[in-house]
Formats: sequence, structure tokens, C-alpha cells
Amino acid sequence: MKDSVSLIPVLRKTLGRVRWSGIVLWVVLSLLVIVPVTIFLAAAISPRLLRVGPQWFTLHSVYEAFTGYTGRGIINSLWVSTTVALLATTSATTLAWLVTRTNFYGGRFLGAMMWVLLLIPTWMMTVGWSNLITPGELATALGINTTQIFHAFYGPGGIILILTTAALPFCYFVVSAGLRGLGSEFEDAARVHGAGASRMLRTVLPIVAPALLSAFAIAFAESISDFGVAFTLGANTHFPMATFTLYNAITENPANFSVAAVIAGVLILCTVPPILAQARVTRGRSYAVLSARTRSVRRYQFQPLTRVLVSVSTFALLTLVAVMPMVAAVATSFTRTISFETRTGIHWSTFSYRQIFHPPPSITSLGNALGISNQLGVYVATGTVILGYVLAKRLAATRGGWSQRIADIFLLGSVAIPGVVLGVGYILFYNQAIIARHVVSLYQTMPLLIMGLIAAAAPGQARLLMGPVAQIQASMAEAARVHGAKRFRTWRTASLPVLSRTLTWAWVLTFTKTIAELAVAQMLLVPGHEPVSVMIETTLGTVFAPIGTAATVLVLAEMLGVIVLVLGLYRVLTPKGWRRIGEVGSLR
Amino acid sequence: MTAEAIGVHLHQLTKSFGEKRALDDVSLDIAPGTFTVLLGPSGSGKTTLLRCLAGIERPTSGTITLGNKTVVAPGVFLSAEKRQLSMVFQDYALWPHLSVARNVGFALERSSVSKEERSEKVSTLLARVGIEHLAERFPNELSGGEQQRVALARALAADVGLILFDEPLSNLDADRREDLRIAIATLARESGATVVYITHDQSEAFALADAVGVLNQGRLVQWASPEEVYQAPATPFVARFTGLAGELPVRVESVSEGLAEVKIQLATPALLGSCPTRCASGEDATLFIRPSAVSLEEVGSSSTIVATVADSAFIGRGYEHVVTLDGNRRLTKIFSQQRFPRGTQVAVVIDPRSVYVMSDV
Amino acid sequence: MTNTTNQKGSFGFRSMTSAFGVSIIAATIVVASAGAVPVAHSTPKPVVQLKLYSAQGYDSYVVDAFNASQSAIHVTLNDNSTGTLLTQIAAEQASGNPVWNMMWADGATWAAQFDKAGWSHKNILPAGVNFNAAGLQNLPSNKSFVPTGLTVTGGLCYDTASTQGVTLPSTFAGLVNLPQGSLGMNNPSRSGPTFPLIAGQMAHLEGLVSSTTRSANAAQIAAAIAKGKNFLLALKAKGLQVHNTNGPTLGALESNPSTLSAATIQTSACYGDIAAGYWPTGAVKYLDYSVALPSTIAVSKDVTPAQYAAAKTFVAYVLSVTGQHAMQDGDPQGDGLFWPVINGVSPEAGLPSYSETHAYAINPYIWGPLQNDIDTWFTNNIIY
Repeated sequence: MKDSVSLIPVLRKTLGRVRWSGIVLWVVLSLLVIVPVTIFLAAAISPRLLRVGPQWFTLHSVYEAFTGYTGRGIINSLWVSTTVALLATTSATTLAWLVTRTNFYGGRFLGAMMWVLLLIPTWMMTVGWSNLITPGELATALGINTTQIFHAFYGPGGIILILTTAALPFCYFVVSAGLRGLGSEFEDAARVHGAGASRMLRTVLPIVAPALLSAFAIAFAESISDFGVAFTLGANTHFPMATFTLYNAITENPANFSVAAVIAGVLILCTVPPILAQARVTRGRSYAVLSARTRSVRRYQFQPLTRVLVSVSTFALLTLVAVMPMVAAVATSFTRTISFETRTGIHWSTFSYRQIFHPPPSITSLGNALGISNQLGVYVATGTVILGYVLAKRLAATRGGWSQRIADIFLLGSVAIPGVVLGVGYILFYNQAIIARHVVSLYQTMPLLIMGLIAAAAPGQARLLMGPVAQIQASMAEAARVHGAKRFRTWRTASLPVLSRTLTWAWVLTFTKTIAELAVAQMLLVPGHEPVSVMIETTLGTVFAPIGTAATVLVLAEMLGVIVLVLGLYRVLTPKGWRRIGEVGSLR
Repeated sequence: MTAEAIGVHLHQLTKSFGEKRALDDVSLDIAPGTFTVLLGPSGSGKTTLLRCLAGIERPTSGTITLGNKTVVAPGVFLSAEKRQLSMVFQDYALWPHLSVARNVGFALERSSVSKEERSEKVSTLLARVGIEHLAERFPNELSGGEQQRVALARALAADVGLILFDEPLSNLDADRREDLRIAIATLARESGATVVYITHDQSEAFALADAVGVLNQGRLVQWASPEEVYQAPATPFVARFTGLAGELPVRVESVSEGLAEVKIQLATPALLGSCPTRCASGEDATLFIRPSAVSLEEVGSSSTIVATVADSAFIGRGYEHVVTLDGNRRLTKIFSQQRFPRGTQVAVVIDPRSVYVMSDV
Repeated sequence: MTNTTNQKGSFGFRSMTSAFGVSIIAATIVVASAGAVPVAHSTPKPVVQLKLYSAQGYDSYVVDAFNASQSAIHVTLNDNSTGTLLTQIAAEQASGNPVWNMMWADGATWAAQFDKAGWSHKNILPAGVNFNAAGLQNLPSNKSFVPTGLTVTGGLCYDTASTQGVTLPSTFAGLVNLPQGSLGMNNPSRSGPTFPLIAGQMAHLEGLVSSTTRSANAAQIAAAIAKGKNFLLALKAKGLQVHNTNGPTLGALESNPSTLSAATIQTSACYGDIAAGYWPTGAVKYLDYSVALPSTIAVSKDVTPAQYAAAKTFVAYVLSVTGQHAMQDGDPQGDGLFWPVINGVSPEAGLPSYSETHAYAINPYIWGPLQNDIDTWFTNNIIY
């Protein structure tokens, strides 16, 4: 009796110690990502579980996935993603160094350019490139023979090029944040003690290594999971990429979910080594603490002529890889023909734009599709920013140790989940008879689509938010609480002002990415509610491709409009002090 | 030790950052093997001067000669790594990914010293700065004082003719500061190298220096021995920056043999003060009073300046007082063995040798 | 001591923020579901709901026309790409809770596979459909799917300007005589109508073309595949260009300078470009044979009896004169350019008669399962 009486306070104490918020968070993550994806992955070894084969357990699909065409896809994806990650990290480091450490012209402009680059989805970039270099397109009209480039483009070359441009901004923001945190004393110390340029680099690089590896890991995960490029460029050569063979395995007749699951598992596991490498380099030490009190940064002074040459050539190169494809897409959208220049000349016309708003009966009107997409964008961006912030806060709060590493691997692994896997996993889980009939039927409804899009966006956002969130000093929150602020006020006064700019950018970024997202949007489509990305994809495959290109251009314009609008509102609505603090903690 | 000390010669050195002149026409000759401290408040240009010496910053104009090597001149700029010097940084600048031993051994890795010799030298140096037990630790596992000892060992390891110190004590607490100051004074001198050390702390400067250069707004305003800087400040700025009990507006009555007789409002008899610059009778001037010039006595004795004790603080070996002369003029840091309670009237005695009359324009 | 307190304090703070954030996510989802869920159509009670998965250009037009034509059935449309729809269905089947009721897309191989997998309903052909000969040729004996229209793949689309002075072949075998590098086709891994073309070529080379030889034995199939591969390799030796889909292939034909002068693709795409005014110098020529590409409808095995009856009503509508006209009007320059499968409806102006195309049907039950292997071979050996 006595024991049972004393059990209650013990129980209460134990329950009190349970982190309820943590449990809720893991439940949310399980519903959003873990359970659907795990169910899909289970097909790899247990086809019977998903009614796609007779065996409860078999390794046959594992063998199948690693041999032949699919095996080559995995190998290609690995080396291409590694190459992309190396190239993107190196170029981003060079750019970040130019902007933060030299008298390079146009640093702010370069930052803005990186943002624009971040907004352009890979499939849009591919459309742009083919509008540029396909013989008969813009480059031809400008008198450039692109036949050789065109053939080189359809293969690893083109894939690496586009994936590198897509990963570049991620890497740039991560590395330049790292370089900003690092004063120049470490370099100075090395040089004063007699280190030449190469030895100085060898000494200082390990200090920024966590940032470089973080950039590498993000670039790797983004590339290995990218579907848009693998689908458009890889398919037309004998150069299979894992995402493409995965898609093939899913869409072939009959669908081979087991092999697809093995490939998906490999893609996700591939992100583990970069994280472990990062953890190894950091070895639990935080370099941020050391660099916190750095002072002035000395900029390398290029001679006037070199300075102009370096700046101009950098912008020329960036213009070539990022702006020209978009220019080509815009130019093509103003013609009536599939090719830019035809035998009867260039036919400038606003025909395609007029068609967008008065489309033939087979095409959804752009207005409706954009409406759906904008609605989705608002919900998904809001949900993602909140979830991403909560995740980033947890990740930044737990220092070192296995729990952080697991959370980190989970997040980056989630970045590497191809959207199509998420989509299929959602159908497999949420459309289970027991759930759909007895709990809630979400398949082909907006809430499930929104959940899927949040699941696709939140892990990446959480990783991007982690840096700025980690910068918030605990003492600021403590100071607020000591002076009597309640929890919400503490958050409002100590965290929100510092993070407001970052969160605003994260919102805008998710909003635009959601509008451009294709894989999840296709798979979880709500009948009668076609978002714009699905509408464009459907149109680009038909004779109405010029309308699709025109729609692409308008969507890009809308994205930029939303960015200008939101940032304008931010300027108008927030107190001046917020904006000033925000600059410190922001992604920029 | 084995290093050949080198002389440092600056000639008309100027460094501008945009519109702002951080260094303005500074010329300086530092003798080989001496310990020079450059003293100045923040923004005075001392850090810029040191960074120009190190080769981290490129001067706008002027020349720098280290030993017989011209490292900065029109069309000449020798980069940091080629100048054969070493440096201790304010923020330590220890490479966080290298162990203490590897940080210290860094400069040795470029020389042809064998590995065994190198590690022996590193241990010796670590022992000399008193942290041999920390050799395998990483910088973030050390206290600030320990980190700065590593930085000192690293600078000494290079065995160079010139060591630069950039406010090495400013991030340390008082106890550690004193310990490390002594370590720097002894070890740097033992090394035989020429030392250039910058600080904004006058007591640190006087304690360490063979010669002190005082910088203000990019200009070198005085260059002399510590004693001379203290006893004959070249400008009111130097006087103020090197420690005062207070200042009083006075009128110069007469001048003879470097001493001026001045009158202040409150005291009936005239006071005497030295004239380190130029004094002219009949002019208004300011009396700059060192703390050491002032002593307190019971009212009624020889002095006729009477003041009220505003504060008295026990500092161990005696008391430090603050007195008010006329409601708003204060003299501070006045030492006395005896305690004068707050609110009591005291007689203020002033020794003319540590009182300077300068016109403060 | 202080440390512990601090940590505890900040922990509490953290967890509260998290809880706050998490509840906002939950709230967002709830609000989203309240605000964004498609409002249910307020339809009278006994209406039978049917979900149609379709990748056809004319689908929304036909569905609207069908819904307007009667009030007992309401069809909702999931308009997506064929690949996505097939994946959705495969995932639904794997989840044990298929929600699709009807699927409508180009080709018959997918429908044959549905039948084999036991996913589709047999006998979905309503009574009284007046099929023409071409329609009947594409109807399986168990009626587990029905053809709704025919297009033709393997006609020669060419540019009259860039083929001036070139003698165009009149047989498939003659394609190897075209000038080096002037012929193009699509990639079967990316373009739906292209595998049937390759399969049709293979079957034709082995003589598996009449209705009696459509059921061939393994040896015949192997021989057909071997011959077909050799033919494709011969084309490759003559510089065959492979583009992803109809769009890029047509772009290469129409551009200046053109990189292609002729292509063997789905002819309706060529007619579409010519009709839309994109390609004034375009023309189509039919060779000694081409391959029929039916668009087909299949119905899920898991429909209720009422839905089964409703689905047959929908199929009957599509296979009526009104329905076939609706298909034409729904995408006049795209998928509407098909040859009707019933008597009494003419194809759109600009299309020749079906007999001129020399099209024949392949057996989807034989060729469907071979697609993955053949596509992979094509990728590895034919694509540049």
C-alpha cells in the first residue's frame, strides 16, 4: 500500500520529465516523413508487405538494383553528385572569398543573383538551356554553332552543369556565412609566422572546414535527389541517373516498387558519409565560439585592372550559366513557333501569352492554376517555416552527441528523399484501407498535398535556418526572462527580431519552391485543382509547348513579384531596429 | 637566444582608409634589441602601425626598413610571410584544429630543423611559458591566459629578430595579466629580439618599455623613455593619457628656469609647476597634476589649499582619496597612508616636480 | 548550481516554443483543410460518383459534356501525365485501397498489364457499340479495356523545304537510304507512343502482322526482336537522331538551320503543329506500314456494381457519335486528331483516311511485358 501511494508522485515526476513538445514534434515528423518513407522503403526487402510480390523477405531486389542498368544509375549518381558537390563548394568558396575578402566589385549584386538562382528550379533551368543551345534556338539565331555543345549537354556534362548552378547558391550562403564569422587573424597569424600562400590556405581551410563540408553535404544531397535534370537530360543518353532509374522502376509496367525502394534507400544512405565527415572534422568543438570576437577583416586588394577583370569575368560567367538560359526561355516564349528561328525567320508574337489566358480546351487556364499554387504556397511556406524553425532550434540547442547527429542525418537524409518517393509513400500510407476508411481519408485532398509539400521543404529549410538560429545567444533570452518577460514575450523580444529577416526569406523561398515543385504535386494531385507546375509540365509535353514556356516565364515573374512584395512589406511593417539586427543573423 | 635583433625604421609612414587617415606621417627609429611600446587610445593608429610592420596592411605611403631590408617603399611591398618576424595577437589567433604543440611548432616547420629537434624545442618553449602539460590539448580546451601563453611560445619559437605584440593582455583578467606581463618581459628580452608592443594601458607600457611612443589620431606625439614620457609629457594629450589626478585652470604669473609660478582661483599663495613645453607669463593655462604630486595633510599645516574629502578607498597599502576643491573640481587617486574620512576638510599639498603647466589649446 | 538552473530554465523555454510551433503547424494543417478542401458538389442524392484518371488532352471537355448530358452519374477527373497516373494506381493497389475507378490513356500495353495483374474489370464494353474494323482490331477478347480512338505512330513527318531533292522512301526498310543524319525518332523511355512503334517494327519484320499471327510463340518473338534491333542499329549507323519526345523532335525539324529533315513519330503531333500554324512547310507521308496506337479506357475491378454500370455508361458515351465528336472538339489541334473507332464519325479535316496509313495493331499482351528490356537496350545501344 505504502509503495503504491508513493508511486504516484514518482510517476508524476517521471511524466513531468518527459519532453512533451519533443514527442509532439516526433509525431509530426513521423506522420510527415518517417512513416510514409519507411513504408515505401520496406518494399525493398518485403514485397509482400505492399502486395507487390509473394515474399515477406527477400534480397532479390537489392541484388537487382545494384546490377545492370539500375546499378549503373547508382554509380553515375554517386560520382555526378560528388563532382557537383566539389564543383559547387569550390566555386561557392571562390565567390564567397571574392565578396567577403577582396575589393571585388558588385558583392551585393552577386548576393542578389544567388537568390535569383536559388529560386529557379532545375527543370526550368533545363528548359532554359534547351531554349538556348538546341540548334535552331536563340544561340543559333545569334550566329553561334551549338551542335557540339548541344551533344555534350545531353549527358553528364549538362547534368553536372545544371546541378552545379542549382547547388551553387546553397553553398554560397553557407560558406560566406562561415567566412564572415572567421576574422582574418588566422590568416594573418599564419603569414606572419612565415606561411606562404599554399601553406596559409592549408592552415586556414580546416578552420572553415565545417562550413565547407556542410556546403558539400547540402550540394550532394540536393544533387543526388534531383529529379528534374536526371529526367530531362539523363534519359536521352545512355547515362542513367539513380533518380531516373528509380522513376522508371516506379512507372514501368508493372511497377517495380521493390527496386525503386532499394534505390531510394541508397540515395538516402549516401548522405550519411558527408555528415559523419563533418562531425569528424568538428570533433565536437565549436569554431563559432572562437571566431565570435573577431574584429576587422582585411580585404585583399586587387590592382585596379585586375579588379575590373576579375569582377567582369565573374559576372560574365554567372550571366552565361544563369541568366542566358532564362533570357532564352523568355525570347522563345515570345515566338509562335516551337523553335526560336524557323526557316521562315523568327516570328515574334504574343500569341502564347494570349493563349495562356484564353487557352484551348485541353489546357487549364493559367489563372486558375496559379491561384491554386499561390494558395498552396502560402500554407506550405507558413507551415514549413514554423516546422523548420522548431527543428533548427532543437538541432542548434543539442550540442554534440548522438542525438544531434541522428537528427542531423535525419534532416539531410530527408533532403535526399526524391519527391516521387515521398508522394508514393504518402499514397501507400494514407491510402491504407484501415486509415482511409476508419481514421481519415486524406488522399487526393488539399491537406495531404500540403503535408507532402511541407515534408519536402522543411528538412532543407531547417538546415538553412540552423546557422542563424544557433547564433542567437541564450543569454539574450535569459536576459529577457530575468527582466520579467513571459515566454511568448521572451521569444518576441529576444528571438523574433533577430530572426525576422531570416524567417521572412525562408518563407519567400519556400513559397516560390512550392510553386515550382513538381513531383509531390503530381503524385498527390487533388482532382480539379491542378497547380501551375503540373499544368506547365503537361503542356510542355504537347504541341502547346510554347504556351508552357510562356507560362514558365509568367510564373517566374510572379515569383519575383511575390519576393518584392513580401520584402517590401517587411520593410514597411517591421520596426527599424529589427531590420538592423536582422542583417546580422540573416542568411545573407 | 640565436636571433639577430634588427632595427626598425619608419619614415613618413601614412595609411588611409578611404577619407580617414589612420596613420599620418609617422617616422620612428627603433634600436635593435630594444623593447618598444606604442601607447595610444583606440583609434590612435597603433594597431594599424603594427599591422603595417607585420605586412598585413599595406601603407599608403612612406617607407619601412627592417634591419637592412627595405620592406615598404614606393613600388616595394614585402608580404608578411617574407619579413621574418613573429607576432602575438590580441585574440590569440591560435588555429583551433591544431594541438598546442603543433601551433607552437608551426613556424619551425618551415625551417630545416629535424623532427626530433623540433619537438624538443617545442617542449622547451612550452616549459618556459609554463604550459608543458598542455602540449596535446586543443586551443578551445584552454583558458584565455593559457591560450596567450601558447601564442607567446609560438612567437618565440620562430627565432626571429622582431616580435610584434598586439595588445596581448587586453582579453585577460587582472591576475593573469600580471603573470603574463612578466613572462613577456623576461622571455622576450631573453630572446634578444627587437620587440614592438602595442597597448592602450599606460602602466603596462611603463612597466615593459625601454622606449615608449605615444600615438594620437594617427600621429606620433611623443617618443621617449618611459620616465621622460611621465615626467615631461610632450602634449596635454600625453599628460592626460599617462595618468592625472586632475586638471586646474590657472594663470601664469611668472616663469623662471623651467618653472612657472601660477595662480589658481582658490589658493591664495601661488603654486609652482614645471613647463615641459613653453610657458609665458600672463597667459591662461592648465595645470596637469599627477597623482604622485598630491599629498593630503590635516588642515592648519603649511598648505593653504583646502579641500573636502569626497571618497576614500582602502587599497591595502593605504588609502586612495578623491577630494573636491570647489564643489565641482576634483582631484582623484590621491594616496595617503592615513585615512581621511568622507566629508572632512583636508589641506592639499602639491609637489611642483610632478605638476605641468601647459596651454591646452 | 547556477548552470543547472539556467539550463532548466532555457529548456523549459525551448520546449514551450517548440510546443507552440508544433501546435501552429497542426493549426495550419487544420485551417488548410478547412479552407482549401474542394467543396463537395451539391448534387442530388442517387448520383453515382466515378473517378476518372486521364492523360488525354480532351478529357476535361469530354467529362464536362458527359456530366452535362445526364444527372445520375458524376465523373471527377484526375488530369495528370500517364506516368504519374500509372504510379498513383500502382501505389493505390499496393496500399490495398484503390480509389481509381477508370483510367484513360494512350496505348494498350498498360491496360493489358492491368488485366494481367487483376486490377481491371472484365467485360466493360456496353451493348450497342458500333465499332469499325480498326476499332475491333484493338479490342481484347475479354473486354477488359476498350479502344476509344486511334492515332498512328511510324508515319514519316518531314519538312518539304529541307527534303527538296531528296527521294523520300516509300517503305520502312527504305529509311536507311535517307541522307546521313537526316532521320529522327523519339526515345521510348520518355515518349509513350514510341515503344509501340518499335514493337510494331519488330513484329512486322518477322511477319507477325495478321490477326492470326498476333499470338506468336517465344521463338517468333525472339526472332522479331533480333531483326528489329538490327534494323535500328542500321538506322543508327546512318546517323539516327533520338530526341526525348514529339516536341523536341518537331523542334529539330522546324528550326533553322534544321538538324533533321524527317522523323518517324506519332503523326498526330505533326498534324497538330501543321494545323496550329507552327510548321507551314511540314508534311506527312505514310510508308508501307505503320502502327496503330489506340487510346484506351479500363475500369477498376474494385468498383461497386453501381459504379460498374455507371462506368459502362461513360464508355458508351465515349464510343457514341456525340462522345467521339466531343473528343475531337476537346483538343482539336492535339489529341483530337485521331481516327474514330466507330462507324459514322469522320476524322478531323487534314487527316487522311485510316486505310492510307497502313496501320496495324500489335498485341499488347505480348509486347507490353517486353517494354522494359527493349527500352533499356535502346537506351544503351541506339541513343548516342
